[in-house]
Amino acid sequence: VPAPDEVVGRGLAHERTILAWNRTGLAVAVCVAVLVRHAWPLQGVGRDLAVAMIAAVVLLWVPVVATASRRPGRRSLVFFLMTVATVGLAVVGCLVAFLTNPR
Amino acid sequence: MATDPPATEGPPATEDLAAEAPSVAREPDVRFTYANERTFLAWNRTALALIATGVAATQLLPKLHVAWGRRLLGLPLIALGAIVAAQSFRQWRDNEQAMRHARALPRSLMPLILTAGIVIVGAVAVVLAAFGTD
Repeated sequence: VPAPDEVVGRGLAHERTILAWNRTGLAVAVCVAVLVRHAWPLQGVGRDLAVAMIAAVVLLWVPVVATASRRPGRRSLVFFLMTVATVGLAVVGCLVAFLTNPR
Repeated sequence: MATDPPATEGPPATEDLAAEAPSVAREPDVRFTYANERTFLAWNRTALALIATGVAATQLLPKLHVAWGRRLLGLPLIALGAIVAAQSFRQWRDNEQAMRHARALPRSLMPLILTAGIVIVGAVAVVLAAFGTD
């Protein structure tokens, strides 16, 4: 039987980890917003599409955090997808930097 | 054909012993697993911040006299973000393996890569600020 302070330690570690996932989700949303802001003009349908994309990121984050809330096990797929998504954002960022012509 | 003598003599290093010994994978303390997970997430957020900063540098800075001046600052930051993201997954996986087999955690080069990258981009920014603007 684990000691009480060990139980508390594990619970707090779990809580800190969930908070870290949520911070990361906010960082993803901000990064997508920055990219969308500069990817195309935010007028008319383009603006609605941009808002829909940011909302989609937030909605996609729900199952990610739900998976992260479970007890830790072999969840390498979540981490792998997270890495692929971040590298994908970097590729989009490079395209935005190359293709757009800022004033 | 003559064979080369062993490169080193004496007992093998601890890491070599760990690699040779048929260790049994065990579930590590959940707190260490969470700590490893949070470290991965912290590196991932750093990567996202680098990407956002790189995009902002290419889009929001005033035009410089140097050709490709803004891209010279922004693109390395975005590339550094991609490298940090890929390396963070590798480090998380290696740490997880090391903990499961009760080995020492592998040494990480990521702080060095990140610091060197930021210092280089910072130096380029200083040069551009000194010579590339009005």
